[in-house]
Amino acid sequence: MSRYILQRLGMLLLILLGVLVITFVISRVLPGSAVEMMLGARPTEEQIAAVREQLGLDRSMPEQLLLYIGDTLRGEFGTSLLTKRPVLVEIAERFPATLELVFFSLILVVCAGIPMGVSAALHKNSTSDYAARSVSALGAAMPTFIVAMILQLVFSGWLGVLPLQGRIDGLIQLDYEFPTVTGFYTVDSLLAGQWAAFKSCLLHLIMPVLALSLSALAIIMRITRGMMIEALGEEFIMTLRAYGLSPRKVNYGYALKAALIPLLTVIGMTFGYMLGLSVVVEYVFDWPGIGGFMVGAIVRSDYPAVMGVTLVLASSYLIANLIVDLLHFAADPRLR
Amino acid sequence: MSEAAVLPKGRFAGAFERVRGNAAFFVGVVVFGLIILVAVFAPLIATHDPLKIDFTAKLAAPSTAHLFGTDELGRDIFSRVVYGARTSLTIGLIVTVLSALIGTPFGLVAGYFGGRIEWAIMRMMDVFIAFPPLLLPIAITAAVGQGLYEAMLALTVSFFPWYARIVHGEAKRISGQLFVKSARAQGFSNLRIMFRHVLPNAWIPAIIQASMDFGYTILAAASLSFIGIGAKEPDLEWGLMVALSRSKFLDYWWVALVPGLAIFLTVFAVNLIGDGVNDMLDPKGDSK
Repeated sequence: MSRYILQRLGMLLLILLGVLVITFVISRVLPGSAVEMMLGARPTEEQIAAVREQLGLDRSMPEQLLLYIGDTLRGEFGTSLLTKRPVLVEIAERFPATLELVFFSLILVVCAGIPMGVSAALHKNSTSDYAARSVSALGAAMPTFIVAMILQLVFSGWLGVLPLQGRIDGLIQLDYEFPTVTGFYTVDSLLAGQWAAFKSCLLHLIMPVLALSLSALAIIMRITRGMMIEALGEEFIMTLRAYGLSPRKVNYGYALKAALIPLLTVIGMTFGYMLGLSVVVEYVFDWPGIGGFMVGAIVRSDYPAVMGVTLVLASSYLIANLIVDLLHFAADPRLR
Repeated sequence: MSEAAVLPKGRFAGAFERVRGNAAFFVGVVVFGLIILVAVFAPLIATHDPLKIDFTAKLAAPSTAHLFGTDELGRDIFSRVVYGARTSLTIGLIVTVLSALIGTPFGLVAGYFGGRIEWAIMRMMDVFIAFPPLLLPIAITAAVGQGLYEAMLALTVSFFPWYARIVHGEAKRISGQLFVKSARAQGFSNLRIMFRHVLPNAWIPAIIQASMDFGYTILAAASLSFIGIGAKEPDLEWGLMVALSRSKFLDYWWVALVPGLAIFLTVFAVNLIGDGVNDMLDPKGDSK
């Protein structure tokens, strides 16, 4: 067990190192150099030299890479060119918003997608199977930004029942203050007993969560259905049936259990998928997370900010995958 | 030499019987075929010049003069969406083909040689795959600049490792088989064995992957354009058309919805075809 964990941790560090090399190449080696970005149009020779020295661009490539990795690991992501504040501070302020959005979406996708996939597999070609497959086909082909905009049009524009964008109503946030504990507005407002603020947060969450969930729901439903069908075809299931166990016990007690373990990996993948897609959703709903921040940073050529967000999102995904693998290892005796 | 050609035929045997009766696949083929026709004959189908600005007719509702209305610059939405088919199909095709062409040799070499070469190549691919989807293309466009070609490059860089991974698995399995060993014993060069004996048996999963990826590529490219880092004015790209309409979207929703539904229809049809191809070529499909 401990050997597996060590091996897995070693692999994580190696991949993380690789990720750092890629972000290094993107930010330092590719054209459209960082110097240009930091100085804007027509810098003087001295300015260029100063910035080159500041970034360490006058040193050799391997030296630069080592310096970059050292800085990044110490949490020095540089200063945002746009806000003139440390990138790490900017990210720390916004990351909870992204996590809250992804977290609620993941709960929805897992709680709705897995039962729907299982039911579709148990009743192949029934109404629920066709319903699941239709939702799946729709979700896989519908651009997330269109889903988001249709939600906005219907629930804000036409019905007027949900707020168009943002994370909380500005006035309510002022009137019903709550301290930051977890960074999740829903949790923090509840902890402070500010019901009006809590309600506002929930209402603001509904559309972004739905938009972020639809395509992930499609994926997870489809995979669950496939895995469940595969599990139902296994020989031990036939044996159990032959022993005369009730279909209920065979389906939910054994087949579902066999299908759920590999599904852990799928849930990990879905988390990563949503982290990536959250950039688009945050952009549409003006959600104050790091994805929306990143889009703004790209358009304004704020390099350090873009690379900081990239690193944080990629590491989150790596850590999530590590947790999933360890859970998988703990849950599946065949791996030991 | 001839043994290499025998196996794939076995794979295809029965493929078309399997797909017969798959109505979804045929719906996909028909719809996608129509979209290809629209793209090819765009100049004949479009009713207006897609780039012609007409401030006297801006944000017009759908009518006989403008089938789907006009955008905020008075440009005919129907004609713009018709031309947009060219862009989206081209992006999907180029990115998918390039990713497969770049990824396949990596997987082939890793699977064939094994050992340290395999380890090095596959860990490198793991690094690319470690980025959440969309994130790597976004980061790359931040560096190389924003535009249609830059977005295509960025998407290719983030997709090719998946092909390497898939081909690697197949190539590794096949490289261990007797006919490859005997080819080695006969003194054929590694290059020749890889491309003439291993590859013809290992590329089917890459084709399946490509058919499933095509739609996702179109979606990803549209998303990049939508957030402002892909296609730029005056490119005729569906995601960009949606983005341009955003400020007045709640009042003039059809301006965004028409190109949005064009993306949906194309990806939907492509996915139906992808599923059909998967059913046809995936040998595991036999057992189900």
